[in-house]
Amino acid sequence: MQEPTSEPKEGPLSDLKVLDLAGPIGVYCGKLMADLGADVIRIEPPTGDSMREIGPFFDDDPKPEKSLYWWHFNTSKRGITLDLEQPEGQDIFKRLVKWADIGIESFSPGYLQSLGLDFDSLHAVDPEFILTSITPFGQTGPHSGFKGPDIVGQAMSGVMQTVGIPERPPYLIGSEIGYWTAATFAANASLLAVAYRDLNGGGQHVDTSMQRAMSLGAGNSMSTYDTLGHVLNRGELFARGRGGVRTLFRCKDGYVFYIAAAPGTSMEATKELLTEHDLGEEFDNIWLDPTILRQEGKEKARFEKLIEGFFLNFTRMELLDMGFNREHQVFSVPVGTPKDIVESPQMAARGFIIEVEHPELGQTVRYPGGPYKMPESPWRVSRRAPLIGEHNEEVFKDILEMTGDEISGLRGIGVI
Amino acid sequence: MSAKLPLEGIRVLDLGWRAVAPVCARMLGWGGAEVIRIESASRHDGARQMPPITPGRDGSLNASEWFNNFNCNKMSVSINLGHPEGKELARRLAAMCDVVVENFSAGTIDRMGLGYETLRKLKPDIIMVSHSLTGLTGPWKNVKGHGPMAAAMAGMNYLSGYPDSEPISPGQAFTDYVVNPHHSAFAILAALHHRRKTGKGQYIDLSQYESISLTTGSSFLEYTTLGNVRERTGNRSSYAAPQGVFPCQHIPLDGKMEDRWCAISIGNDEEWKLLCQEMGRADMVDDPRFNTFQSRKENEDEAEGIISAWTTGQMAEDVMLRLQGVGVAAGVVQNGKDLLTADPQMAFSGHYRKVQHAETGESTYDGPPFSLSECPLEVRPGPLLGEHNDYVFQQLLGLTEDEVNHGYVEGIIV
Repeated sequence: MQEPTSEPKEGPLSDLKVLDLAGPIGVYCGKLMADLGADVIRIEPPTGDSMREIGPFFDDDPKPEKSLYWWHFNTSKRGITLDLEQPEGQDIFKRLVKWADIGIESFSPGYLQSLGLDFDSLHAVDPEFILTSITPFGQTGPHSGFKGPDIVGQAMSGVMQTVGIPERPPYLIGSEIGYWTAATFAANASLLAVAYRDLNGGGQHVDTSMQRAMSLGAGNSMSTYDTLGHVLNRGELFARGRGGVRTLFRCKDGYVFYIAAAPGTSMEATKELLTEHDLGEEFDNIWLDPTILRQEGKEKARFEKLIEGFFLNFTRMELLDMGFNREHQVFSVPVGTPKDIVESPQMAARGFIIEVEHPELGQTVRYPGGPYKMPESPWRVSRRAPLIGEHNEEVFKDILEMTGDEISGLRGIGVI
Repeated sequence: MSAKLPLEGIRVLDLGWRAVAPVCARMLGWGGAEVIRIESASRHDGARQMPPITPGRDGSLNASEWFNNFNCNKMSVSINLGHPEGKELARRLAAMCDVVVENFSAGTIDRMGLGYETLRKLKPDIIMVSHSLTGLTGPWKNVKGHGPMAAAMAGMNYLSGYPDSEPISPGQAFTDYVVNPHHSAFAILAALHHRRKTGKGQYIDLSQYESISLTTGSSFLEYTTLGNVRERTGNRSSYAAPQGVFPCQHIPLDGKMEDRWCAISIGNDEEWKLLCQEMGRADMVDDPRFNTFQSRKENEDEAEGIISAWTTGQMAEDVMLRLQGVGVAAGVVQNGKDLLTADPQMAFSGHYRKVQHAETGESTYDGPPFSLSECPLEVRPGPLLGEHNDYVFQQLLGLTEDEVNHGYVEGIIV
């Protein structure tokens, strides 16, 4: 019996066309859209975007086409080169604006205006165009001219103040989470602008601030000061975990994250588990009341010593298995490394690790999958990140109807 | 007459508890959707009593600023989902909604009789999202727990903190307040867009574990291509040096002297030069220990020591303003009080919204962290428990007075 042929399902944003000029603060926004099917064209200067200098590099070979940073954040996008500082480049950009629905940019406020490419100018070219701007502090205001790398965003947002322990300086949340947050809110805001346009017609300017976006991670800090006049400091909240017992413990092959008492688990559950491992005698029933353990002092220290000793005998996976394959679950999960994630049986079963072709290398590379599964309109990496100017011919011919001569001419004067 | 807000006409059913699903629904409420929470006075999830509680209102289910902030722009209907007729009312309400959000552990919503397969029969184009810890399928689907556990599993903790000390968890439930709800809100907005084109809804499966792992940048590729396990690097960067937080003058706070820090990040040689000049150390500009990125990286401890010596006697704000004034990236490590009362940019942007709430009085909420030039977004107070019972039961569900009375008597409406 013949199987009916069916078109592979397209992503939900497959009708959207996007111009992506964003730097590190916003590059994830275009990835979110592109991996859901939007036609995202990455625009770089003719010599390549400076993000390509960020390592690590494939084969430890620091070339612009081998930056793993570039690879990760520019999946599913096409790539062209364009020098926006030349009038011909600005002209081409405006013609692309007519084609596109959304533009994503993260230049310092004022830069696009100096090129005649600010929102008002682009709106005059195409009133349906949505411009999403992503900056550390917003387009206007007393700090809008500040330099804002990720650490400045995390610091000024109130989040960093609460990360870590009082005995040490405050910490970043790893892997440029400030940039990630700004870009993800910009993506949400962009789709709100698209929804608005579907209802009312017309584009608009979306102004996203990394500081404001990150500050939503400090909701406790803001509310606690507003309501109680108290300033939250690091160490006051999750570092100490529920029930007051700390959450991080060494185990045989690394660390586990453990929550002693919280909805879904209980001190009884921990006692049961310890009893199964011949430590029931050493469990003091006074600890069944988690309020006892919430206080600093002898009982907390005694309990922590017992559980520390227990964890040291087992690996992370053993603790995951014994914690969850039981009626009353004990919340002890591995503190995962990148290796753990790649090798996780759960990730394998979910098909989270995907193979992406790199024809220029003659091989495929394993990439992470998407943050959600959308079966009706699937997430997909449609291609690896573009090489410099990889789609110049295709974009300039198909979209702008240029001839080969015109394209060569532009290349000759360094516009592309 | 044109709609004023992007999600006008969209109705969302918020079956979430604690943070992840409710915060996801908050984005939709900011966008102008009508968001209805089903809650129960008899079996509430504790979120309504999470601190901070408005002074003088202990014991109230309406005075948690944590809850109200995360549940702004929403309606509350009090239905007992443990009662079979309560489930039926919930299903009928879901059938009138475009989007349903929940964050129970995998399988729970199905056992409650409100799973996607059930709701889809009532409303074929419904869009639903689940936020289970590790996904709705797979060998770990019964691994239940809280957001910070998923953050630990997904590499966020391992990559935070210093190499010579332990992995660090984010100080507040960052993945519950920021990462997961805004990945899922984006997916919902995309699904709504898709439905507009095709008429089709869908069931979105967000695994917190998978979603958070997408915040670890290129560390995944670093392992799959180079076999390297990326290690935490504290406050340093692989492409800016020196970078860190530097100790400034302590300030009085709550009757004590509190430490105070300013973040500084040197992105290139020019910025290093500007920093040296501002520190009155022009002699260091051409110092071979520091005059290239490579050398600054090698001597980063030393560079940090020199900068710390300079910052120690100064107020963090002064360090920030001096350095930004000459084009060097610097930012005070701010706290809640700074954000609300001192930061001129936060004030200028109107980010924080003041609302009037029946029990908490004048209160401050987060607003959406962006502005849309054509449609200013509103922020309205968090709902009292059951505040919108009349609207939901009478106007939406068309229950008669007798049916409503029956509901109260039987403990269906609580």
